Amino acid sequence: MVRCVTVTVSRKFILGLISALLLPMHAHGEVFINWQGLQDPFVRDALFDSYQGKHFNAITRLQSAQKTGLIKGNPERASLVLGGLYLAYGFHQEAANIFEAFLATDQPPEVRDEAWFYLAKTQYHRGHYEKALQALYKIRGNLGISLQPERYLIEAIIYMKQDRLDDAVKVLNKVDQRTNWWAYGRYNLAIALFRLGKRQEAETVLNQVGSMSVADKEMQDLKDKANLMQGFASLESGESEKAKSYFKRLKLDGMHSNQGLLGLGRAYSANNEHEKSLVPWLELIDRNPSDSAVQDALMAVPYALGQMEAYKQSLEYYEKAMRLFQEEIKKINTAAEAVGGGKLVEGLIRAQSGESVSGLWTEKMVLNTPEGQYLWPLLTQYEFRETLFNYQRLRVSLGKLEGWSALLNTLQSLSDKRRATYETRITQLQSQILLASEKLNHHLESLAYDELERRKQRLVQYFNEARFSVAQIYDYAAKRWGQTQ
Amino acid sequence: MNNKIYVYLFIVILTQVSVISGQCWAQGAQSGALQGSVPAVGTSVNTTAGTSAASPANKSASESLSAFRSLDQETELLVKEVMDLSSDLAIIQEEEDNPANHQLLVLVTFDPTKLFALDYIQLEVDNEIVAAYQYSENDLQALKRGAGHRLYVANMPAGMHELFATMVGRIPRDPDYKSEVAYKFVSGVSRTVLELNVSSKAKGFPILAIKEWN
Repeated sequence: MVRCVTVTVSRKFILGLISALLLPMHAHGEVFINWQGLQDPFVRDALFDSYQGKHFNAITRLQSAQKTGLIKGNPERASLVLGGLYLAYGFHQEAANIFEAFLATDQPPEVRDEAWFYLAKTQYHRGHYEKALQALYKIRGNLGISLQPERYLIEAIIYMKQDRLDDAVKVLNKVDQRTNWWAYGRYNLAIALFRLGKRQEAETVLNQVGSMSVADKEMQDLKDKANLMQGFASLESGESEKAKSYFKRLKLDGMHSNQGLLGLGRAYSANNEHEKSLVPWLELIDRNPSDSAVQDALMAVPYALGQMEAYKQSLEYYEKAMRLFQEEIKKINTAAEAVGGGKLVEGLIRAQSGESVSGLWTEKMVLNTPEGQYLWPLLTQYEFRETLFNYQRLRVSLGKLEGWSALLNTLQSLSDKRRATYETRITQLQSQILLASEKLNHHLESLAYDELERRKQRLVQYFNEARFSVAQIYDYAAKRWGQTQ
Repeated sequence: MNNKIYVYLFIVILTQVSVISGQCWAQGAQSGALQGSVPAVGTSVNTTAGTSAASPANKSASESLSAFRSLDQETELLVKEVMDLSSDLAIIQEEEDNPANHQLLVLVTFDPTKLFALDYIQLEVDNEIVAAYQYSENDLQALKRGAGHRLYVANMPAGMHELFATMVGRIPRDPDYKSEVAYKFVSGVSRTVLELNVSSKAKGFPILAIKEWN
């Protein structure tokens, strides 16, 4: 029998699933502190810009009003709003300084709690877990059904990142059943239980998510993910029949359907039902070959044929796989060329023009570029997206400085000395910003290259494995039928 | 019978060998496609070895996160400095363009109401149309969340002025619902801040009211 590439469940893949804690995508959204009873016209004026995504203008407008003493009545409240504006722009350090100074003053408890919550959320996303926890601990009351479940989820995920699994379990059990957050809470609870070695309990919890009735795509995706995790966990423990039942629950055209088809084929394969394993795998290999599950299937199909001693077909499919891997590698090289020289960042910034940095890049904007289909997963990652936003923030700042530089000479009330001081400050800031932009650009390119390199390494490895298997088949054929003849 | 099949398969495979192995060699030789590196990574992607230690591909997630945090902090500090500078210069510019004593600022605020959809507001000062603004859904959302829209800011000559505002929108039985308000104010003494407030306090019908801030 020819030893072909083995098709086994990757433990790494399961560990990947178990370590992938989930917050809904919409949880990355904007900061919205409900500033009850705001009266001051200058504060409300600044808020208008902020709500339109023009955070830079909003902050400078409110700062100007504060500096000229236009804010009357409740200056602490105006400072808190300024903190909120910084936070909405993603500037958690300045926001934290302001909140520390003013949230202790006599503020409505709801406002105070919401401010701490949004600060904690921003710090969590930026990886400042301890600071985020400290902010969460300052929340005194219940944030209500729209924020309280998210608060629990963030707290629990931080505990899980700190390996405080028992604390995470306690908090996750508090998530309200009446919202979509509950399903995310259950999913993360299952992961915590898996990691605590309580597999049976974890399965029970995952079953709740995997069998829930769903009304929208988001919940369907989560349900599929739960079944996928159950399926692969069952496969790992040798329960292939059970695994099949989980994989069959997945939606055929859903976000995780490729992984589902791959897993179903593996479950049959584990039972030595090679002909049956071909059904999902053959369906899968006609899908987009840039997907890792499709690449796995491209190797799995000839493996199954080899197991069935259908060597000629096995060779044909290995040949097909090698051709597709090679084409993918070429495309990745083209994508890598498109990343270099700042082209990646410029392209993405162009796709999302304007001062606003609250918007999101959509798949449609990104997929039209050669690098888009490979880099799309990066844009769903907080670090890449925020670095891109930071780059955009610096560009906006640079534009403002250019504007002020041109206007300086027209300001009649400035003395020559003050004008010169401003000119020097502007020039210094411009150089610092250009340098910082270069660093951000380099960081983004590094992340993009890492992603492309990771994909490419995988393809190269598969290509070599396919070539090795082809050689084995020839060797086997030569020995066996060569002797027969 | 079986032997015949095997012999046939063997012949078929043999005919394929040269083609496939030829392709494999060709593929191996196409280093641009297979062994070419991702630019700037600095090393070639070998089919057996990984990238060099200096390659970003080897950078750990924690190193990457640490770099991200440091850049994030640097960006925040720099942009904050630009904001501070901008607010200083904006004060100087505003004082020159619209000196405080002569400045008129008109702000639109909106008390949320389910039955009224605001379309636009037109502003006249001393019988001259000075501003007209069509409100988008985004604008209305911002207003409903407590923001105030800066409709008009200008430098007014000293003396008495008359302001006239018209609001047009939709209510269930009237797609062209209109409300107007007039107001007299004095310029040249101090900054005039007028709030045009849209609310539905009077018998459920939306009205436009003016409040002067001192």
